[in-house]
Amino acid sequence: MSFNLFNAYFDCKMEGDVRARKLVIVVLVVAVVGFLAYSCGARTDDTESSASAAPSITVDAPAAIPMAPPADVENVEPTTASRAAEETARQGLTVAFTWYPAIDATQNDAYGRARTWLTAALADRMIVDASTERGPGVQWGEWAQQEAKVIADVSVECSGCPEDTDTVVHRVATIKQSAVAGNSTETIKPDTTVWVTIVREDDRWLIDDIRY
Amino acid sequence: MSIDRAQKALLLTGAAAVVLGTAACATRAPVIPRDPCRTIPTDEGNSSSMSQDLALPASGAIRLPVRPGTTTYTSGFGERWGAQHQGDDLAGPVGTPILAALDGIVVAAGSSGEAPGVGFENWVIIDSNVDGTPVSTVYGHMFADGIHVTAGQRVTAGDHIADIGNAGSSTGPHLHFEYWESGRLQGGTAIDPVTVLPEIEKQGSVGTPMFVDVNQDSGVQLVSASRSTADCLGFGMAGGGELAFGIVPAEFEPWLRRAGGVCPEIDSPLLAAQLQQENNFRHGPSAPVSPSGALGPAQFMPGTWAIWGKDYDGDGKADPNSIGDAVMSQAHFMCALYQDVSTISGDRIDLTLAAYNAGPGAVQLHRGVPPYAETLNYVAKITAARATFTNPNSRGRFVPNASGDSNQVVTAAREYLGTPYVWGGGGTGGPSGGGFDCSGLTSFAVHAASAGKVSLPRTSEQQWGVGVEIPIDQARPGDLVFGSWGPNGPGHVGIYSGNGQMVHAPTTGDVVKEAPLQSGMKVRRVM
Repeated sequence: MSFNLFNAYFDCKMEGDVRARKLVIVVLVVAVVGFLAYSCGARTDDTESSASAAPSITVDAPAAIPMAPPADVENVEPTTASRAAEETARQGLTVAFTWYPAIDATQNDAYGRARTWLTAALADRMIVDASTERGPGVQWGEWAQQEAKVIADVSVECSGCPEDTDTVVHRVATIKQSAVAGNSTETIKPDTTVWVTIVREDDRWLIDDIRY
Repeated sequence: MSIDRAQKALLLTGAAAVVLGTAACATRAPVIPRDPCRTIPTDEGNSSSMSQDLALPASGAIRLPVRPGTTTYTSGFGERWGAQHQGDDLAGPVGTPILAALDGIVVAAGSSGEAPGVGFENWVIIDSNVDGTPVSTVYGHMFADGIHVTAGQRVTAGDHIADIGNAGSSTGPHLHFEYWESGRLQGGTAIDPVTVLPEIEKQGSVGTPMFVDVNQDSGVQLVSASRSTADCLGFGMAGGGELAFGIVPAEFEPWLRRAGGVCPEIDSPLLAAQLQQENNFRHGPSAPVSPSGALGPAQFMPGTWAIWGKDYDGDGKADPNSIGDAVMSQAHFMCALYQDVSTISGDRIDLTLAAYNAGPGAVQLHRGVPPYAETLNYVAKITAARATFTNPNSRGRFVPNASGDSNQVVTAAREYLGTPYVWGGGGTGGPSGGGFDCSGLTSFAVHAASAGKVSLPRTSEQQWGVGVEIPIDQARPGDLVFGSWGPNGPGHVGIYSGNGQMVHAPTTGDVVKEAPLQSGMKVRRVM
């Protein structure tokens, strides 16, 4: 729901200057991040049942799982803590892989928006000026021209991940991105796979590493 | 920009994508098993500057690949341990000289694309002209420091090219020697070297081979992409055979094969994957320009082009939008960057790509791949796509045969028995980061066994979405077996190897092994 605000923003035809657009984005980002942070904080206190771990806000539709597990297999249900860590990964990666090429200077700007879900170490490493002489590539330039937004559909998986501990959870994420411009949506191929470490700091789970 | 213009741009982009896609389909040849490379190619492309590279004078008589009496013939050609042994083994002490069997040109020298301890580990391939027909001789299992030739070097029969080693999957120091009609990398046919060199069988005191050759008459025929004589593409060219046939737009193919020979570290599949990422093979005056002004298929900045851009296609000007000039300049620049990053720890190919993307200064500043999301993404996408562009015949020992049976998935995976489990390790191209995880192993084995036709998604959960489910009592070797079910799908995947067993990468601290199926596993057939 929160990101529909961005959709609304992009749906309206912006003729204003970049400064005004940046201001709008900043306001929206602050609102969304604040809301999500509040929701996450509230949820980590809630360890009663897995049902209550269902996110009260939606960063994005839950990632498409290619095929549900068969009915006749014994599922190993993750603990509430593991689910909370997975939810942090899903939300943080969704924001870190959602790009606004018309406004963002580089993909690292998305890490700035995802700051709430990152440890200080990861934030220090990734929230940097990543501009280079060559600058962003052709594809990025085309998206910027189309005022496209690149949305991320994140599926948090295990694929042989190390066993969870009370303070460290490892997951792999399959990120399906689409470029949305006007009424058209283009799937970006191939999917991006990242290996993620989520750590518990005080009462919160935070992403400590994202390995491409 | 108005929405109308944006829509037009989108439409144009879409149309271009369709045209490009169609062109790519049209050049992709069906995989047909036959011998297409029958005559020595004389000219690969329409560029006159290329033909001189391909002159391959006829070889003199074949001779033993070792000095007589220095080795013992221990293993013959044919079926061995359930797989084809595609050559003859000559055992001798480490350091025994290996000699070129024919006059020719070295097209590969060094790593065989397999991991340490796997397959040949290192090899030399010499392409030769035998009475007008293409022949490759292959020499395997040398140690890296026991190879004395480089790709591109011309050799004469009897030249000391390497020393016997014990590298790769080897049961003792020996030379593994192969003889291929129609080109090793071109999908030719391995024949028993004894048929052209009867003296091999007489080497040493044993007199009779330790292994009975059960398949002497039938050669091993590889998967080959078959398009008339064009299939000889890359024969006799250093690094020229590593690119899959018909995988890139046809106008790029001869240049990419040639570019693969600029330096041994930067191969054509890597350059092809990079071109796909840079500008998706768009070229010519209408090729898109990046926001900061990077030009052409290889996206050179004008300042960089001024240093590296050369007139390789001989049309009188160095043009960053032309295929020949751009691709050859890209290869030379990449080879130089590979040397630049030698003092920085980390995977050198990753660092080289990062230097190309973010600039060599950024890599030096951060002493590694810089923490730029675009650069991290660039490196990951290219290294993952590299296997897609790689000729399935260009891996050392395991080569998919033409039958396409799923048993080959098991054979490919078994090559890596004992390789460490590394979570996040491996992919279609083989192990990475020192090993495989469960889905990395299955990605590799299915990609290799299908000759590159089946690229699985990277995680076990996503792989469950590929192919069709098969009842477990109907599973056949090569099917994938899934277990460790969670709410998002299966957390584990292995390869069914028959008799209730699977080859799999189990978990951290363990190695790739063959083990009984876990209870509750489900089966899917993906090829």
